[in-house]
Amino acid sequence: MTGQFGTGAVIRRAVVIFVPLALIAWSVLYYLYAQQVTSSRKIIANDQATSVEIARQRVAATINTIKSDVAYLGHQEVLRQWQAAQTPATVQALEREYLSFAENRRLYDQVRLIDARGREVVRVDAAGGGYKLVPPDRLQDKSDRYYVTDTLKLSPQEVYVSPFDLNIEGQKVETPYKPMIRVAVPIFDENGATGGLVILNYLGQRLLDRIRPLKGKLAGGNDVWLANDQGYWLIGPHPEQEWSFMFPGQPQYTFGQNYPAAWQQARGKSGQAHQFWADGDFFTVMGISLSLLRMDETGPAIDAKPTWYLISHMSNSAMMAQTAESRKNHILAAIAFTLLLAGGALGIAYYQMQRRQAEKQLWSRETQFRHLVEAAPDAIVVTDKSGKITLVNARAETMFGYDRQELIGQTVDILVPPRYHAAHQRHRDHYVAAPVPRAMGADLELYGQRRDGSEFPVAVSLSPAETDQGMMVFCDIRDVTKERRAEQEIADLNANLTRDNTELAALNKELETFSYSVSHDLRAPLRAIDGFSQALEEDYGDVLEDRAKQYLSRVRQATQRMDLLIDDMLELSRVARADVVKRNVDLSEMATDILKQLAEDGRQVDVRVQAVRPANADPRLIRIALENLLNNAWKFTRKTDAPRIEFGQIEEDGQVVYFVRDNGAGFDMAYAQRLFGAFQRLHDAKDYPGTGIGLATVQRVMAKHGGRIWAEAAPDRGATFYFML
Amino acid sequence: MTTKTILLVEDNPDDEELTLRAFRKNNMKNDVMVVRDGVEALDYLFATGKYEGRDVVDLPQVTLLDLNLPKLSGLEVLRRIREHERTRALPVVILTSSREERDLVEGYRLGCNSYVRKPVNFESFVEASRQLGLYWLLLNEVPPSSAT
Repeated sequence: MTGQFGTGAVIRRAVVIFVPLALIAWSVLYYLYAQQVTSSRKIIANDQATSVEIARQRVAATINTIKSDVAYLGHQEVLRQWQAAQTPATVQALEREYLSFAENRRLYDQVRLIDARGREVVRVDAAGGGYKLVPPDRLQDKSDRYYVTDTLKLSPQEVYVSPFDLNIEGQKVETPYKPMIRVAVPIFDENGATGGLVILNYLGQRLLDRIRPLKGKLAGGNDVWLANDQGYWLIGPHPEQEWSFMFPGQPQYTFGQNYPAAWQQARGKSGQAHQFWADGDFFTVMGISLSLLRMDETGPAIDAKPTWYLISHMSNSAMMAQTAESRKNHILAAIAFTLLLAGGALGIAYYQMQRRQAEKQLWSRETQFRHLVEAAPDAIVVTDKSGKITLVNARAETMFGYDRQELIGQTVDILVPPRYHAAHQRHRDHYVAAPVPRAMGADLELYGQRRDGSEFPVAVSLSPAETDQGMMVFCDIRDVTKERRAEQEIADLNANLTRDNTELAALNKELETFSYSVSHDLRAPLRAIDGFSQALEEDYGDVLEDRAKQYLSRVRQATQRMDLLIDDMLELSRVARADVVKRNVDLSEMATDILKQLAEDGRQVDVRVQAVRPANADPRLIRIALENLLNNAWKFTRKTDAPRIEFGQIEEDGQVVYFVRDNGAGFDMAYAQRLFGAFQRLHDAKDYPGTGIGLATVQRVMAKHGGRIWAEAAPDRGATFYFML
Repeated sequence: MTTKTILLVEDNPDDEELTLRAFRKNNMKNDVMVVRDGVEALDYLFATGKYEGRDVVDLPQVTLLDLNLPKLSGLEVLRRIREHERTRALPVVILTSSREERDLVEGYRLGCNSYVRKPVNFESFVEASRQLGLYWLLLNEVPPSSAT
C-alpha cells in the first residue's frame, strides 16, 4: 500500500507543517534571547550606574572633605588675629597652625594663606614625606595666578575649586605627574573687603586612585573613566592619553575624540547619570559640577555646568560577549528544534500522506463497490446480522417499488410476504449461525413482496461478508417470474411430449401389429387364390377353354404381384421402425456381393465397383438401400445395349458422396420430385415391373442416417443416384 | 419302416388343403393329423382333452406348426413341447407365411428344428414341402425316446 505517493509530495507536505511550527519556535527562542539580551543590558546599565554612583560618592566625599578643611582654615581664630594685626606673632601662629594641620591631614601638597595683594603669607609644602614651612624669603607673589584672581572675586560662603590639572613647577609639568586640585576660600575683613584667601593644594592622585580601580562586576568593561569639562581624559581608556591638555603641541586625546557620538550626547549635562547607546557602545555618563561650591551646600552643584564627567562604558563587542553564551545556547536550541521539527514534520507528513492514500483507496474501493452494486442486474440488498437493511441498489428499488430511504434501516421482512415471516426469521438465524455463500436457491421456492403487496417468485443468493461493522449478508435477489413461467411451459411441453410419446409408442405398436397381420393374414388369401388357381389349372385343365386358362394365369400373376407389394411395404415399414446401429461398413464389398447375386440371372452387364471409403452406417439398413438401388440399375438396363453399372464415390464440400450409376432407361428430371414417394412409378410396369416402394425405402434409410439421396438422369441416357450419410 | 403320422397345426382350411395337396403332389403317404388351434395341438400331443385316451407314446414323425393360431400361439405351443420331457426331442417345423425376423429368431430360440416360409406361389410351396418331407420323413432318424 505504500509507495503510491511521491517523495516530493511528502516533502511539500512536510514543509507546510514545518514552516509555521519552525517560525513559532524560532520566534519564541528569539523572544527569549531578546529578553536575555535586554536583561543583560539592564544588568550592564545597572552595573554602570552603580559604578558611576560610587565614583560620584567618592568624588563628593573628597570634595566635601577639602571644602570642610578649607572652610575650617578660613574661620580660624588665628586667621582673625592675623587679620586684625598682621604681625610676625600672628603670622607665626598661623604658621604653626597650618603646619600642624597639614601634618595631621596629610592630604595636601600645599597649605597657604595669600593676602589681598596676592602675596603668599604662610605656606606649608609637602616635602620628603613630611611638611615644612616655606621661609619668608621664598614666599612668592601669586597675584597673577587664575586661582588667586578667581577666588578674590568670590563672595563670602563661596568656595573656589580649580580645574583638575598637573602641578607645574618652574614652568614645567612636574614629574612624576602630580595631579592637583586647588580649593580656596576668600577671607574678608570686618568691613567685608577681601582680605586674602586660604588655599589648599589637594593631591589629586589620591582621588584618582580611589576612582581608577572602580569596575563593574561584569567582565569586559564598565571601568570608570574621568574626563574634564573639555572632555580631556583624566582617567581614560589608555593611560598615555591622560592629561594631554597639559602638553600643548602634542597629540590631544579627549572623550569626544574617542567617542564622538557619546560626547555629543553627554556634553554639558550634569546631575543625573545619562545612559545611552552611541556608536554601538553603551555608556553611562554623569556630569558633575565642582568649580564653584557654596559652603552651605553639600555635594557637587547640580545645576551648574559640569566640570567633570564620570564615564562608564561597555563596548559593543564586550556587550556581545556578555550574551555570547546565551546566544550560543539559543542557536543550538534553534538548531535542535529545527531538526526535531523537520523530522517530526516529515514523519507526520508521511503518516498523513499514507493515511490520505489509504483513505483514497478505501474511498475508491468503496465507490467501486457501490458502482458494482448499483450496476448489478439483480437487486442487491445488504443486511446486518439482525436482518436490518443497510444498503440497496436501484434495481432493488424498482423490483420492490420502494425508495431506498424507505428500505434502509428496515428489516428485510418488509420484502417478504407476511406468511413467510416466521420461516424467514428461522432461515436468517440459521444462516447467521453458519454463514456460507449460498447460490441462487433453485431448491427453494421463495417469494418477494412489492410495496403494493403483490408477490413475485425470486431466486436469492447469499454471501456473508465480515466487515468492521460486523457480519453483513449480501443478498442477490433475482425476479424469476419469467423463468418460473418458462419452467412451467417446459414442464407442460414435457408432459405433452410424454403423452405424445406414449401415444406414438402405442401407435407404433399398433402399426407393428398391423404389419404383422398384413404379413400373415393378407398373404393367406393370396396363397389360397394362387394355390387353387393352379389346382384348377392342373386338375381341370382339360375341360377349361384356353381363355379360362389365360384368366387363371392372370389371377396368379396378380396374386404374385400383390405378394411382392406386401413384401416391399413390410420392408418399408420395417425400415421406418428400425433402430439404427452404426458401424463401419465396406460399401464396395457389399455392392460387389449384391451385384454378384443379381448376375445370377445370366445377363451380361459391365459392372464397375470403385473402392470407396468405409461408411459409418447400419449394415442391415444400408444393405437394403444398396440392394434397392442396384436392383433398379440392373432392372433399368435390361433393354440397353452394352449395359453398364457403376458404384463409386465423389467428394463434395469435403464429404463423401456415394453414387450408383447406370446407362439404362433413365427418366425425365421433371418427375424427379416424385421419384422417392411410395407407390410412385415412372415406367410402365410391363417394361419394368416394380412396386414403386423401393426408392421410398432407400430415402427412409438415408433419412434414418441423417443423410440424403438425390438423382440425375435423362430419358434413355441412364440415371445416377447419389447418396451421402 | 411304418409310415408315421405328420401333425399339421393349421387353422386356415385353405392352407390346410393346399398343404395336403402339396404333400400329395410329392407322393408323401404319411397320415396327416390336422388340428385347428394350439390347445388342440397340445391335447393331441399329451393325450388330453378331446384326445384323452390316445396313446401318448405315439408321437408324430414331425409337427408342422403355424404361428398364427387361435387360443395358444404357435410359439407358445413350441415352448410347451420343449418344456415337456417326452416331447422335448419331437421334430417341430415352423410353417408360416410370416417373414418377420423376430418370429424366426424366437422360433429358433425356443428350439424349432426348421423354419419354412409358406410362399404365395404354390409351386414354390410344393417345392418347399417336398424338401421338407425328404428331410424329415425320409432322412431324419426319429429320436429313440419316441420309439416303442
